[in-house]
Amino acid sequence: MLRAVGRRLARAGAVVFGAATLAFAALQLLPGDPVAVMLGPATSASPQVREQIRVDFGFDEPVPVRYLHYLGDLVTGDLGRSYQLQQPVTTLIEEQLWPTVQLVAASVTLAVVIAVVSAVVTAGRRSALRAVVTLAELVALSTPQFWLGIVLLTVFSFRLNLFPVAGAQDLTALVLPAVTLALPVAGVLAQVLREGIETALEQPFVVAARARGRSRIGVRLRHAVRHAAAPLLTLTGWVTGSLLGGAVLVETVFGRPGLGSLLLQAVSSRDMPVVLGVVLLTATVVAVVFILVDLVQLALDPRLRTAAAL
Amino acid sequence: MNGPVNGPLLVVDGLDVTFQVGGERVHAVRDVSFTLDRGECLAIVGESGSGKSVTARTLIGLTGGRSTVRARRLSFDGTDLTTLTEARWRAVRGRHIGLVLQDALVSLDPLRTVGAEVAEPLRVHRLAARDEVAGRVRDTLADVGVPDPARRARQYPHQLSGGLRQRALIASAVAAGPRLLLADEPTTALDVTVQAQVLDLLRRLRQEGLALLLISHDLAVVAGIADRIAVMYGGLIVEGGPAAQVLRDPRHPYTQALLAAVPTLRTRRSRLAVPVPRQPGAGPGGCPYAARCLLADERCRTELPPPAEADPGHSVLCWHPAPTPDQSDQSGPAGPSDQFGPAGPAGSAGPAGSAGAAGAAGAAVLTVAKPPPLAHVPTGSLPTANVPTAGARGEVLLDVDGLSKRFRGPGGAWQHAVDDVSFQLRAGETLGVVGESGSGKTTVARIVLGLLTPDAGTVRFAGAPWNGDGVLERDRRPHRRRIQAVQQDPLSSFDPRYTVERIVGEAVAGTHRRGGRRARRDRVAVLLDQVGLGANLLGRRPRDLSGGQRQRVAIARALAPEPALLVCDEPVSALDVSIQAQILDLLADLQRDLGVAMLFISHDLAVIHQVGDRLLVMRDGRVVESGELGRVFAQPAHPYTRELLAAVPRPAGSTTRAMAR
Amino acid sequence: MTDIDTETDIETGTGIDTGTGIDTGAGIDTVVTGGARRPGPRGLSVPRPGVVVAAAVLALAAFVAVAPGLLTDGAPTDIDPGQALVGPGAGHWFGTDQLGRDVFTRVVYGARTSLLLGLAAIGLAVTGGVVLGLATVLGGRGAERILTWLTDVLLALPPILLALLVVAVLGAGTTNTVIAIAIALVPVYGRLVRTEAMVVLRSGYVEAAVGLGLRRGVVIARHVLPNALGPVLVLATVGFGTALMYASALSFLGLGSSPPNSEWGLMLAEGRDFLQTAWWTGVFPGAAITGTVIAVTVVGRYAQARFAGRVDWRASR
Repeated sequence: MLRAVGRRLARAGAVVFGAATLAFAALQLLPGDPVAVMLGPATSASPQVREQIRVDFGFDEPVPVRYLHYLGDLVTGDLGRSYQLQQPVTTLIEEQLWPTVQLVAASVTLAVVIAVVSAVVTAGRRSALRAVVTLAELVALSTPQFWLGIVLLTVFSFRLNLFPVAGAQDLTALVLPAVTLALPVAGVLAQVLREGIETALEQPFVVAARARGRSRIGVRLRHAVRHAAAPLLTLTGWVTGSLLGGAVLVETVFGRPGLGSLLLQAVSSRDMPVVLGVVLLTATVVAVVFILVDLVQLALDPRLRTAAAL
Repeated sequence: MNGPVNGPLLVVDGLDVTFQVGGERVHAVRDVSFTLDRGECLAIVGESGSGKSVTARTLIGLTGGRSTVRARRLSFDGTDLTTLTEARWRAVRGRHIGLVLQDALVSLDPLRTVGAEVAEPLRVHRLAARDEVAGRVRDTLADVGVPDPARRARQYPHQLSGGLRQRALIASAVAAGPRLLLADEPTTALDVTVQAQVLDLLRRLRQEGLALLLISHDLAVVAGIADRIAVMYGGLIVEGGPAAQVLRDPRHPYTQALLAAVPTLRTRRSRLAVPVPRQPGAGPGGCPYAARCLLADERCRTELPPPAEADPGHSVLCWHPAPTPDQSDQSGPAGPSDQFGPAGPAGSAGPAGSAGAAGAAGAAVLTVAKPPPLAHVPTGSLPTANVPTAGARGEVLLDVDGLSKRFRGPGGAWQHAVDDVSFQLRAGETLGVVGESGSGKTTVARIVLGLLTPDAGTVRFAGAPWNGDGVLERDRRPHRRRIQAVQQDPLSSFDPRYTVERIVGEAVAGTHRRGGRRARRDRVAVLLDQVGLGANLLGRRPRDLSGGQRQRVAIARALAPEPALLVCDEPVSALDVSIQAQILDLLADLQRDLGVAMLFISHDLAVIHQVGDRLLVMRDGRVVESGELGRVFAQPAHPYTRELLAAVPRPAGSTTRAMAR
Repeated sequence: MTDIDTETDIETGTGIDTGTGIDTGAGIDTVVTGGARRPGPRGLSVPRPGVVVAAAVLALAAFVAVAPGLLTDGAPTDIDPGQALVGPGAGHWFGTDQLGRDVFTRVVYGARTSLLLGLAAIGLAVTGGVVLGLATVLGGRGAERILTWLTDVLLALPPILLALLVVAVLGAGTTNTVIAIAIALVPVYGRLVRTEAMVVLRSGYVEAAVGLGLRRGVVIARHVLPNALGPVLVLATVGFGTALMYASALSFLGLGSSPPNSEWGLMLAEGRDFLQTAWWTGVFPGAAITGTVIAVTVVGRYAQARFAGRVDWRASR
């Protein structure tokens, strides 16, 4: 078991290392002079100032040396300084982290609740309700979040004045963004969960359990749900990424502060250290989620445990 | 459900089950009637789709939402099952009627411990206090012969061997002490030796008073345990009666064909399959077997025969039932001569089975031609001519020397799949390789096919290095056409996008380069004809073919490059017994006509006996015994070979049981 | 080609070589099981009328993209300041925007740009995925390790973030949007191609082809590629909707198409500022995106289900 954990940690480490290297490569690929990007087109800084910045940021060193410096900085938790905002990237991220965490946490909860209810209620039935729910899920997962957000804003904020139009001041401001972010994810999760339950219900062990006297409900709760959890869990990594990515759009639509807004601003002004900081953070979170999911799978399925106990 | 009621435990009268599939109504079970007494065993035998499993499911109320069940009478221990509500059904399931399904690996919940599954009926029916459950589970497991039950109860299904798993599944079905056990193909997924043990267990449970309804596709399996046998075809019970009678004097053509199709010692080198006439199928009101029946006439196709009694208690549903057998013809399909091993010579004993004392008769036994299985079907008994004898064999074609191959098993340790295996195969000869799962026989096949490189040892083919010892694929490739394969699952060996013509055509292409497309097409047609398929199948895709047709296409493809050696890996084990018989006949014919050598791998000794010249017995990656087929069957030297021989089920019913040990 | 699946044929005593599955065949041999139903992705299935409607929507979108002039007289860039922000009505079905441009005309003309962006991106992504996936499978052990690791890294980044990263490096613009989305989706298809190709490489028919002495290149071209590609292309139909959505998203964020182009995402971004007073400027272009994506998803899912039913070698192996 320890070896299984160790192997997964090593793999996650390799992914994070890869993301860091990719980020560094992206930085090197950036066309033009980073100092010019940093100063913007309108400045008339003297060559001395430019040279000073160059030395400060280490642009004068050869690439391999800078790469090692960069890796060393990363290990000590230093993501560099923003070109534009002249602040450490870690500070910027810390400032913007909380609203995004709130948004993602609320969305995850909402998505899982919606998915579980809609899947468990309709799985294995051939009713009109199932057809309607299936259609709703399909629409939900195909709807672009930026448009969904705009429609919700138009209806609930501008027309009905139920929720604030922008900002992140209180919980009411969280409702619409969380719903917007959650709906497409909920659509996918519900479909996968229903598929999982229905597949499990067709297995011979379900017949065997019912032949021992288990009720329909009992079979679902005692047998099928655990089997349906596996495909759902494998999606968790995707869900995390999808929510973090969707946050960029949702935060823009609702004018919320957060990592997404920070990232978008940085991309627009080509403030690479900030872009790379956010990207690296996301990759790390996703990699860690993958490990956790793997370990939960191991706990859930004894067959995987046997295979993993190598 | 309470108190003893006089009369049979289970009464089924006029059972009809229909399913709604798409817009169609499928009549799965038609007017099925039988009874079952306490402690009695009734076996329902039939091929897939015959309605046997549906019948069993009906008796436990689990036919599913799209089924309609009707019956004149369906009662268990005096309780009318037709009127049970779902809640009342739940009280019956597991508590009074238990169900055992085929494959325990999927019939036990893989995410729950064995103990939790065995405890389930106790918990559901509240038969044991919380703190007693563990003890009851241990007792039940011990009772079905699971050693170290406390430890096994804590394990998961995949951690148990196939035999233990099946025992655990049976334990979960009998834990609550039902009086009737429905066993649907309970031994089908098991190795023969394990199958014999599980059958022993079922036999014992029955002796302890459990009534047993055994569902099987295999007459031989039920022969040793059933009191009565019902043969189902097309949803109907076409023949039913005391087991010994049905096996000895089958009256229905279908039962006769089924019995004839079971390869036994007696049938060696003779035809197994009853020829299937090309004729129209039955109309809606006719006998469902009419399409395949040699005796079918116009009446059969339009009118269902009424049930008739051939003998007291022996019913048959046929317009042309076989007459009572001539007393002089004692060597009918259930004669005692189909004994493996040192049991006795053929045809010399009556049903009493006294022949066992006659001792080993050696190879002489093997050449006895099969007596006509159907007195009135002359084509059933064509003995195959020109059986190559031991002396007439050609030079060494395949020389396998000291093969070893290891794999990393579950758990990480290296395991020998094949360990120092050597053998030779001569041109035109058939070498049978028999072994149970994990014996390494498939790995040997793959090495011989050049699909796997051995860790040690060499394979020489036609005098030249073929595999092992650094032979390169580049050097082997030009000669690959001379060794061809027939696999267990032909469907997966066909490109799903290809038609039959392209599948076989691809194999023809290299050999018949000249002559262009036209010649290739003709050659494909010839090959298909050789394997008994019409040119009308040329445009079909494999998944639109039946299992038997697929295997024929696979054989046609394997023959296309005119190989010297055919490697057949379990070529018939996925087929129904009657189709299996046809394919075995075909392979025998082809070998006789084309002189191709065969490496024939099977878990089934009876099948190998049918086609083999020599035999290799493998166990745990090693060859434990090898030799002339007749010698090995008559005088098995290794204890494992003897065990395998003893475990082979025989269709001879009570006769065999009397003689078995 | 010799040792294609050394890892798969361990005789573990749990199945492979038991030779059992009795009922796997087609049953009664004289009966042809032509319509044998195979399990498709049931939970993902779509009712048939929905498929027809979706196909009609797609056909309409394609028609509009090819010949926008047939549906509307005006040009998408016709400015009429006197008619700014007029609500939907007989004169302007979808109303007008802040410059008095007809929203309906702009939505119609936007179809071509939006669909082309999505099509180009998914085409590039699938092509890249096929190259990456095949290279992973066929490239030997070293290449496999490196490419698998690279795919892992890229898959750890949400596509939209990966696309943003690429745009940050390359700069904004239509072409760069396409490249960014393609790069963001390449790992998805690379992984998919790899999985499919592995399944095919281990299949019985590849083994049979090897057994006929066919050269490695022939086997790959004749059997591996077509069979591995089928499911990938089917999934790519759904992927077209995703790519379309990402392209509009980048335009919406101001990183893709730029004014005065009429592209749905861009129009949505422009309309956002007038939501409070003129909802139609944002809602109609958004509805166009959503409608197209839903239609693509429905048709794609249907194709997936049909495909799974037609050739289900997964079930047969």
